Amino acid sequence: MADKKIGVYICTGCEIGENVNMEKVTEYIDEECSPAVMKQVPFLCGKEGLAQIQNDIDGEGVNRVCVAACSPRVMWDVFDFGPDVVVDRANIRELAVWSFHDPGLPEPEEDEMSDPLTMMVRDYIKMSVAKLDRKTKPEAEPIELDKTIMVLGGGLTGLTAALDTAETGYDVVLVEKEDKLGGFAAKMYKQTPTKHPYEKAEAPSINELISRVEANDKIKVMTKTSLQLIKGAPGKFKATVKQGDEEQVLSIGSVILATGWKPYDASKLDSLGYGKIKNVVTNVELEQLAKNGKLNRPSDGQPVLSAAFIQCAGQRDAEHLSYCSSVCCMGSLKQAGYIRELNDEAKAYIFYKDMRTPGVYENYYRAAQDDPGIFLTKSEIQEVTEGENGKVLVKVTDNLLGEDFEVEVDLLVLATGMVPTIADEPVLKLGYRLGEQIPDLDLFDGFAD
Amino acid sequence: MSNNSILVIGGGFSGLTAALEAAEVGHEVFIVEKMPYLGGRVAQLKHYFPKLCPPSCGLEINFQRIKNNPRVKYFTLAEVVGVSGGPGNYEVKIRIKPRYVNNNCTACDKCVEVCPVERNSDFDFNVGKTKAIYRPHLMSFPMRYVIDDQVCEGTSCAKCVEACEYQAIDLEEKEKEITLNVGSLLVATGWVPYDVEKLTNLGGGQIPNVITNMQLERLAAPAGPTDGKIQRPSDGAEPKRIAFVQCAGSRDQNHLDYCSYICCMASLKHCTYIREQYPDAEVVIYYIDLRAPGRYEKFLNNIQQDEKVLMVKGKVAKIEEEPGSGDVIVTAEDIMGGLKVEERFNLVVLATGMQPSIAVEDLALDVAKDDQGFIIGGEEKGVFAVGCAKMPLDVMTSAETATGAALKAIQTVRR
Repeated sequence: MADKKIGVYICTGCEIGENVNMEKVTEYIDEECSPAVMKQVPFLCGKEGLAQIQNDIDGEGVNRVCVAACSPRVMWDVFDFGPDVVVDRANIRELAVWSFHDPGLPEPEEDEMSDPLTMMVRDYIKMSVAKLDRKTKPEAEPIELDKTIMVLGGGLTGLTAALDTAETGYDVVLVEKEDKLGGFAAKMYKQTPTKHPYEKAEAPSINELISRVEANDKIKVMTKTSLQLIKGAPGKFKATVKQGDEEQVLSIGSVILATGWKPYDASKLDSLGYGKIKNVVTNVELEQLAKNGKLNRPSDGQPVLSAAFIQCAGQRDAEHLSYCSSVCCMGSLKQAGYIRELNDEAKAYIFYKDMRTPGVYENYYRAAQDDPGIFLTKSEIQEVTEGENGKVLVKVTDNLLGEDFEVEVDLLVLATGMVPTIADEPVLKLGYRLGEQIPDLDLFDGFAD
Repeated sequence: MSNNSILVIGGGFSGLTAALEAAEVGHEVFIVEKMPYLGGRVAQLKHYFPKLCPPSCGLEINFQRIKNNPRVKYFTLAEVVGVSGGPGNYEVKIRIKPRYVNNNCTACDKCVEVCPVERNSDFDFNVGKTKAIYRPHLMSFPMRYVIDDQVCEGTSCAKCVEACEYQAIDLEEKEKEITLNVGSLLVATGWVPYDVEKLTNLGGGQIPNVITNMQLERLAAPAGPTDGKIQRPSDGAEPKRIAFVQCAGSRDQNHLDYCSYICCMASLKHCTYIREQYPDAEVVIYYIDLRAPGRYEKFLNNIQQDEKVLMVKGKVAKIEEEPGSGDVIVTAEDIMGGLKVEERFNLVVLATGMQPSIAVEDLALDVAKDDQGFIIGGEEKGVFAVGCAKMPLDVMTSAETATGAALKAIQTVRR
């Protein structure tokens, strides 16, 4: 860049001129900063004001412009003199003239120290000139970016990310540690509604998604593959992955973390009968039973004519998971439907703290409420015990019916919550001094901040 | 050859996010905003989730991104009036209403000093007033004044024209129409608060000290009409007992079928506003279900720790004004206690739900909607709904849908 030539332009409009001793300001700035040009302009942001600056740029070679006027929030777009002219805004209107109210000080005397507003204005201008004097324009350093994107995790989220990335025109490497794609969605019998009117469970769409990913030639699918190390920087990462015994290093530009969740460890829920009573299962286990077409009592293979669901089995509980897992209310409504599907007379009881079906999912909740075989109540669970003939007894208090009661069911389903995969292990394996994970403020119980 | 540009209808948080995401990967983007400023509903809040930032925070970042990105062009006071063509090649007609204030405006406020006409401020949901010429709000972008031509006396007054030293006011400015060619459209028209006048049993719009949650936001906002002081509209008194009525219109087949998603969290947030100003005020929240999904549970826990905040499961049946005192009598059922309760409050806040804007004022675009007015189609046409035009959502999730839809729009125009 050519030699610095600073021009200072002080707007006298918008009450600035009337309130500031301009003579003192300009005298001071001249003495302290000696700018090449300094002008007072009555309406600096107007056509004529801007033309004055442009003239000095063209005629005097001014290449650094101090605009001593209003806040950069106002007239944000007019002081643009092209890429070779550096502009700095000294906000003397809002930060000095408008916000300065004389708090009962005596009238300014000849001694300039008694005129704080004028001092404030000249200091803002001096600071701005100092900035202009020291600023250098950064030189762009062109680097070759790697445009391949790595998606970690081949569940519904990862597959969707991979497909959309590829369909936008980028190459994708999809890394999945299991031998098959699909994650939890592939283990589901049905999925909760994804489209209007949000009233019925749907056949899973995961297989179609998997086929589209596998058929897309921009996506390289690597199953049974684990990530070992990510080094480098955005746009230039080197990712070491291991497939079987074979390690390879991939050049990638960006990483999408979609490793999802794992179910909360139900063995900690023995107070709800898990591990002690055979016909107590988790929602994840129920999903598998339904998917395999074997939705019978685990104890004896007898049909399930009644089932109870305990919501927040561990969630919203400081001793287990302090957060709400978002999906379990919808999940149990769906699974209550599985029970109802088995037999017209079958009954499903859902015991909840709050029914959380936010937004349009209210439709799904309403549809379940309309089903005469699904009973829903806010309640506390007092006790879960084993009854006769493999039945499970659930004692319920503080419910909407007003009195405590007990139900005897063939199957008790614990609606367990989700734990992020990144909570316990550093999935990203960053080779950084800061650690293997993205630095996290730990605001959200192990979920990425 | 597809047209590479993308049109975003609506300049709230969703629209801004979608526009910037598309522009920052190289596409020309046009934002069409009906109001005289960008920022939408978020601009009206005191704090917003997830981290309870003031709106100037997130919005200011987005405005900086717009200012620094020549690929983003925006039109305020603008509406889509006609769309023709198809994916990859749309022709969109935009009507731009006159602002009556041109680019010379330095936001000096001299015009406001002389303007003789007052109006209810729509930005403040009528709990505040502005002159007929006004700055949309303290941090508005673009920072430029505007005239409400429904109330302005026009050239017969013209006091503002005289007061403006910068020739920034043109009372005879006319409506304009422009045509844009784009490849894809994103609909980010957002939401309007459900009309409380329809909630007659809750005193909506009738009882002075029954206000809406959005009105409370304006009362609590530092730059709002009361400089941030939460007070009763009837007499400016400090409220000592405050009730929140959840699902005011939501989850109710006589009003809005769906849950409005944000109102539980909004009322919990409002408890923090109240506590900040009134350490001893008592609060009762009447709810059906407390919906603090996912990570928001912690926030609910914190409010539950407050001994002066009581949460009662039960629907409010009736709200009446107590003659003379300005107080409000709330009749509700306490389901868990099995009681019918009647309680007196100084101020009642209706946690009104959201209605898609286009359910109230239709959009000149042929796209499928459900019976509540949310957009449920359009993808096949290269039209993508985002944020609360699609379904009720919070700011964070709206922004996520915006990013996702921006990608879909990009795919459409790159095809």
